Formats: sequence, C-alpha cells, structure tokens
Amino acid sequence: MKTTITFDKTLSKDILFAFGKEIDAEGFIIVSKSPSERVLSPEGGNVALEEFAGITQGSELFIKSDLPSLIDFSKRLG
Amino acid sequence: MSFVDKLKDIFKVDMRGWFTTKKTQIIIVNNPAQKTPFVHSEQNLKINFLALDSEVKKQLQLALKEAFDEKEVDLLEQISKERVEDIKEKSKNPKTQEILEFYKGKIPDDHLKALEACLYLRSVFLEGGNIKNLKLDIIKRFGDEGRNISSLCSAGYFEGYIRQVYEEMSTTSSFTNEDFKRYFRTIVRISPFAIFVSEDKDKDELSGEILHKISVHKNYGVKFLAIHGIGYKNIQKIRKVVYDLHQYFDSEPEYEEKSGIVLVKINFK
Repeated sequence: MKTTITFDKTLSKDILFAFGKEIDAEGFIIVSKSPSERVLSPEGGNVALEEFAGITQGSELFIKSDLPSLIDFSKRLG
Repeated sequence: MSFVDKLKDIFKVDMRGWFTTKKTQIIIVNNPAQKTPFVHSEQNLKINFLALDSEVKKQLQLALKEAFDEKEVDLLEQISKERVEDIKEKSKNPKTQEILEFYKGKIPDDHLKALEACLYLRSVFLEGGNIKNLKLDIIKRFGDEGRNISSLCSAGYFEGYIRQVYEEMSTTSSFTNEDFKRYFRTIVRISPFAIFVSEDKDKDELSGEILHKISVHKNYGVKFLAIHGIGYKNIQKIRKVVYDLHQYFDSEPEYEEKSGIVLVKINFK
C-alpha cells in the first residue's frame, strides 16, 4: 500500500533536490539538468515554489497547494 | 527494499516494529528544538532533517526518490496534507454527495468542479474556518464564473432555485440537458446582477432583497436588475412585489415568460 510521506514546507527545496529539481530566477520549479524546462502540474501549468504541495505518481506530477488541485489529488488517493 | 528498510540502513535502527498500524505517518520536519534525528510514536515517525548531517541527508533524499520510483510513496507538504484529509472527510457528507450527483451531466464539467470546490468552501465557512485564500484559489482557477458559483452556492441556490429550474424545465416534452446547460450558464454569468426567486423566499424577503440590490448596484453604476422566478406562485409573487416597488424604477419592468420561468428586467436611475 502506498504511503504518503509528509514534509515541512520549509524543506520543499530539499525534497525537490532529491528529484533533480531546483528553482529558477522567477521562482518556478525546473529540471536541474534542463534549466529551461519547467515542471508542470496535472492541469498543465508551471508550478511556483510557493504553491508547491507535493509530488505524486504519473510519472512525476507536481501538485499545487490551491483548493481545486488538492480536491483533484484527494480523488487520486481514493 | 522497502522505504522502512532503507530508513533502518540509514539510521542503523530497526524501525519495522514501529509501524504497527496503517495510520502511522512518516513526517520530515525542520525542527530546531529537536536535537535527535528522529522521534517516534504510535501515530508517527518524525525525521528531523535539520538534525541530520549532510551525508545522512543525501541518503534520505536518495531513499525518498527510490521509494517514489518504486511507487511506494507520494510526498505531500504538511499543511496541504491536512487540507486533503479535511477535503476527503467533508466529501463524505451525504448532502454534498447528493448535490454533486444531481448536477453531474447537467452542468458543464468545469462548473461541476467549481461547485465541488464551493461546497467545500461553504462547509469550511459554516465551521467558522477562514475561507479567504480558499475563495481566491477558486477564483484563480475558475475566474468570475467561479466567484459567481461560490455566491450562488453559499446562498443555497443549488439546493433551491437552480434545482427547481431543472425540475420545471425537464417536465416539457422537448427538454434536453443542453437546454438546461444553456440556462445554467446564463444564471452563472448574470448572477451578480440578478435575484432568483423560489418558494423559500416570501414577499417581504424579496422586497428587501430587491431594494438592497438596487442600492448596491447604484454604488457600482449598474442601473438594472434581473429577477428570475419559476412556477406560477413565484411568478405571481414577483409581479406583486415589483408592482408595489414601482416607485423605485425608472421605467416599466420588462417581463419575459417561457416554460414556467419568468425573467423581469428592472431599470432604475
């Protein structure tokens, strides 16, 4: 059964680092090896560090912290 | 190797016996007050990232990535996790489920998603929770339509007027869901400038609401108001109240009646 590991918001950059991601000059999450490539949320938009809520499967889906995104994520959990 | 086994290797402690229930959580914290690398209880294992040396941090980060790639874990920030748990809890409410089930397929999918978010917003509000940022989230995702659906939802229109419109419209032989969707889009679009009248609104309430809306509209330079009603009794109620208030209007109200629904347009100075 899949576990959800929770992390403190102040550790967001450390978590992203583990996934080969960092933050660009405008505050968006990017692929470290391909700095021009910003990661996408399930809705297809860029994800700013301040709105980063987590990572879920598919292959890597970056969850935003706004209410509609968290409602969508809650349905993925089942 | 499971994530827990990886933790055992990293911290040199057998943690497997700590996860006696499925509800035991793993939380990575950033706590300057906690000197030890981890603290465990029956409810959770808290790993203090701040207390780890750089090598252990790297090992933990690698273990997280591997566990994710093996589809063993998701990662979620603490406050968002609490919000997700609250969303799941409130989504079990039978009334919420019934409303969403009723409107599924009857309103555009995007509006249904907005309604779901607004029902959650309403339940947080009724508990005395702070909804300011949640409402901004809805407006940011769904725009003015999201804002309007939120207002309609909090006023109970999805249980009242809008539902009654569907039930009234669906009795006509030529009815299609597309007819209702079209009218629903209109309701959402014009709702800031409209009053919707159903059985639960008596004449005094309607009268008060019309005068209040006129006052608010004037402040924003809007010089019209639309009143929607369904069913014979409500239509008569509207006609009576509009007649009693005619001194406040600039011109004769315009009436349009179709399929048991009336639309009255009022202009004022």
